[in-house]
Amino acid sequence: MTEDLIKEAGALGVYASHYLNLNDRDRAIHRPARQTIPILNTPTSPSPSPSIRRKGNPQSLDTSRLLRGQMSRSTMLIDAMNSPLSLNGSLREDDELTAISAFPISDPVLEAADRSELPAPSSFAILMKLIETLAGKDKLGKVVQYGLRILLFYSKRSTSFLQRTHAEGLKFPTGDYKGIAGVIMGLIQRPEFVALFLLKDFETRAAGVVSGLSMYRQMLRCGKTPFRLVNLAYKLSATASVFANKGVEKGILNVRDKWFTPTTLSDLLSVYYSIFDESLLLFKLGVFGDPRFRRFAVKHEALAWYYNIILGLYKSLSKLSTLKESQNQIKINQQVRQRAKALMRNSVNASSSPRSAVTSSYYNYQSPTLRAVSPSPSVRRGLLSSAASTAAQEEIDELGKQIKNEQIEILKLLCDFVFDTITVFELKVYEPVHLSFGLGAGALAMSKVWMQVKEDLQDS
Amino acid sequence: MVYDTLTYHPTIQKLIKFLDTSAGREKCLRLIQYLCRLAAFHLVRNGSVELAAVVRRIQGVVTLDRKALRFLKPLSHLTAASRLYDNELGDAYLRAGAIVKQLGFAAYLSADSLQWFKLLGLVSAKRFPKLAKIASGFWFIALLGSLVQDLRNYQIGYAKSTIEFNEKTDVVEVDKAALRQLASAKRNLGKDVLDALIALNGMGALGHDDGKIGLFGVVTSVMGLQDLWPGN
Repeated sequence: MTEDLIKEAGALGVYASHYLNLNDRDRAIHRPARQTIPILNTPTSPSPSPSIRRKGNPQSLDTSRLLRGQMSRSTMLIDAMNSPLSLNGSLREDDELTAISAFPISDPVLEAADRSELPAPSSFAILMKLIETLAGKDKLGKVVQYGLRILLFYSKRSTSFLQRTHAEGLKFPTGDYKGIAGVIMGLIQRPEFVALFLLKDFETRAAGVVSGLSMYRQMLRCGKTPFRLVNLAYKLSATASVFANKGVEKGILNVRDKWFTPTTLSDLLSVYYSIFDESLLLFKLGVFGDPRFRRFAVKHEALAWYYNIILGLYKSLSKLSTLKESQNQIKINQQVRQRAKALMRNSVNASSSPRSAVTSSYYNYQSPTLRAVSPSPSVRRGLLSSAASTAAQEEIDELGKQIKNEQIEILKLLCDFVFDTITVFELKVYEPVHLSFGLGAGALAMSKVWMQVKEDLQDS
Repeated sequence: MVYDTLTYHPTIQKLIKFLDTSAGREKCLRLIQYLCRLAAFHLVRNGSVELAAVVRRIQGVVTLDRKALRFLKPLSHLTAASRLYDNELGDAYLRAGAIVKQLGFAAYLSADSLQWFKLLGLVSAKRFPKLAKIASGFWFIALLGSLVQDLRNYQIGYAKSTIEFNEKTDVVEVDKAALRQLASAKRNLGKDVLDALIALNGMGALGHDDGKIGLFGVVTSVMGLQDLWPGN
């Protein structure tokens, strides 16, 4: 019906934008309703159902939080009071503390719920988006290039085997038949010819694709050397001006601070690599032709890449260690918070339990330790706030993603390292094993880009 | 510091970012391709055959790589055409022009991908001998759609850009937005006409030499880069 309205409005040219907006809103309204809606209509429900009380996966939609957030504060407090909690302060209170968090629920919870409700983008959509990016094109090209090189190796080996073992009978047996019938009869009599024909055809086609992809990937990388050189030149001139204007001492300090850093080393190695990489591209284009310089460029391109990989591994391992440290710190903070909550919960239970005067007075007595940990009302609200724990959980999840990314990066660099070690030291290794490290590095890099693109699509 | 000013200069940062985008790199390669075509033509005329061969080789590689960059792009054009078809609220002429343009580009890029497979050796070079001409035909159809859009935009811009004399303020009032639309339509019209000439030449309908086609290509590539640059 809405579509009819839009068409009608469009035809008349009246309120077109209004109907367009209405259509958007309409679509938004007709999204799958949240589970909270029917339960909101029954606020007097005595306690959340067991399914709601379950310990949820932090990344999945925590319906109970939403539910409790929407319910009235008093109802939720009663609910919390009725729930038993072990006095040893064990972390079974995960559910209970969530129940206490009936204080006005914060936006981060709803936002997290909204995000988890979004449908995951399809693989086709991710592939489309991946192909639109330069990194995606490059990594996809690398996977295809190395995959084909491995297949080409086996194809060539099979072809030579067939030619060697059937060398004496490579004459095509047509028998008494002529034309197509002769070919068919020949193929029936000697099926290895079919394999030979298919393999030869594949080799011809794949060889062109491999060289084309190699050049294509170099084209995608090229063009950055001038910027890197300019960057270094200005850094150099800045240091020189410090020497000239502020004296040798300041100049040496400047060199120590600006040049002996991983960033500068990375810049230098990038220039080293890109100069030889782009020189090799110019050789392929026919601009350069000196074979001696070509050999020199091939050697130094591999070496420069090797140094870049080692530096990359160092950086990635350092980053991974920092990320893990940050994640552990947040986890410890969260555990401390949960223990504090458990202690408070115990004190609330103790004060509200219907007991005799004697036991009541006994339980109402707060030990100095308990008094010490009793926070002020504002701190208590802060501790009990589910927003804080959700934010912490989100931070842990985000760090988890970054750690996963870094682990993939390290694996990729290790694959590159093994691949380039074989090239640099000219080790005698079975070629498919050598190539499979290149393929592995390409696949890992592509999986990283894939995850990034997927995340971008989910966010947008 | 001078170093910081230049290294972190917005234009340099923008240029690096521009080269890191698929569309930006593709447009740069297009410019190089047509520059090579133009240069090779003049080098041959001046007798530098060896240098012309190198330039032609660069042109060939760039052409091949541009085709790789455009691989699977027909899908996005088909999606755009489908969306335009569903949107019945816009101007009918503009909509029709846009649909023709998107469909034309989808067909052109599909033929272009097939041509790429031929160049890579995946498809026999003897098959589809008229593929390049067919691809140019689809490109021309896409440009016709674009020309319809340009002409309609020009008409709309012209109708809106009336100069009015405001008697109360004694000032001549001009609709600046309409004038901008008019200027943009004129510019696009010129670019599409030049591209259409290249496409017609590719179809074999015109007999222009590489010098003229290279020049047209350089002009349209620069205009394309100018269009992309602000949105980067």
